[in-house]
Amino acid sequence: MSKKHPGLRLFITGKLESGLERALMEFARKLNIHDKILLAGYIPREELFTLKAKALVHLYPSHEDTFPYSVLESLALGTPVVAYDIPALRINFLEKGAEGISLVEEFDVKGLAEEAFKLIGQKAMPPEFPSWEEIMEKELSLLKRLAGKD
Amino acid sequence: MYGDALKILAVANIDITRGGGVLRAIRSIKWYVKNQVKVNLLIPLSDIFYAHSELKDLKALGVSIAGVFKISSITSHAPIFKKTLSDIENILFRRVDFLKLSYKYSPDAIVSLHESTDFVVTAYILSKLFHSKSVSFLQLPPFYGLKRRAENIVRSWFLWNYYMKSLSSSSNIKSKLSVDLIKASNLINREIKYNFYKRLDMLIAVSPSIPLEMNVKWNNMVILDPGLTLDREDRSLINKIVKESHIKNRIVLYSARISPEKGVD
Repeated sequence: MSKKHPGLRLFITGKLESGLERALMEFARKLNIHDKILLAGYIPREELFTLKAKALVHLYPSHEDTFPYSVLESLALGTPVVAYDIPALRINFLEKGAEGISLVEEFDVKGLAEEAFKLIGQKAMPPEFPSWEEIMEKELSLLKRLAGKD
Repeated sequence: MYGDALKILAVANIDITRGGGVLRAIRSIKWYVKNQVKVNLLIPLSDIFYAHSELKDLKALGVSIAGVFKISSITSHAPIFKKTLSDIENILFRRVDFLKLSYKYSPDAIVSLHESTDFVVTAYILSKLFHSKSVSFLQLPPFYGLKRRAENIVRSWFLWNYYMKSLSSSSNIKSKLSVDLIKASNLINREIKYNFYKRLDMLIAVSPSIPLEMNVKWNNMVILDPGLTLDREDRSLINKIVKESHIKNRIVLYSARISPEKGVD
């Protein structure tokens, strides 16, 4: 992506274990892209949401997931997402009618970058889900039923 | 105050910096308490040091801290203490159990809010001690029943090692051997977990993708579909930010806990 559009910068958010920041930056230096990467670490939700709203696209190359808040938030903030095609992303987002999400084969890094370019500027929106309260009512009723307290 | 209310001993991580799984767990606990469920909480020791504000919030809502487990959880922050802490872990953990037993505490259910084996085994053992129901949330598949998916996750770990250590060609031979060892260990691991998780009274999967990835159809598993969504606080924050109509910057975002399985290919 950087070769095609040198002005792009990659913001990486999320908790960094000790020593990881240095290792990642060393690796970025080897690729000569260290000046295009910002390792933000863990940031509070309001700041994170603002950053997500400002981003052109969200890369989410996760191999292991269930129902990522991160993807849900980006789509709700109008930022498209390109992710690996794993069951969690396919079932919970693509098949439920999310807009602005594209899935590529796992490890297809080139495809990830190409899809990211295609998505820039596109509308993004998560599927219609029931409210958190409705989900919690169902969850609590399961526990109550199991304990014989429904 | 609680009368015949549901009483839960929750086994959970509350350090919000660890990602979405913890966020969901905290939100569930808050919902339970607001709905007259009596919640006692067992947390990893590291959360006492690194989750002050979450701990304070939960206590203010009425959650009681029953104790700590996973003493070695602080070793990720202080690896030098790993051996000592592992040695004393069981002693302290058992003390917590028996302290509660001596007060005739009788929870209706012991609920692990995470699928990690250390959390689930803790919940299961305590359910036997307290003669309670055992429940675990599955926020990720505890094992993979689909061969290709399992192999891709192993591959992601080896790519991570390769990048991080910049392996030379000679050590690639070693890494090939390690891949085979990990595959073998995964098979054993899967067998153990397969037989253990189905013993629990209830497994709550937060996505239909979970039984699919585990390749199981178990009677003790219920599926929440969807298992999560944005809450009111998130929605109001998002509406506020969207209304401010931010101009898009030349930013590409990677937002996830940085680990091999989250993809650093």
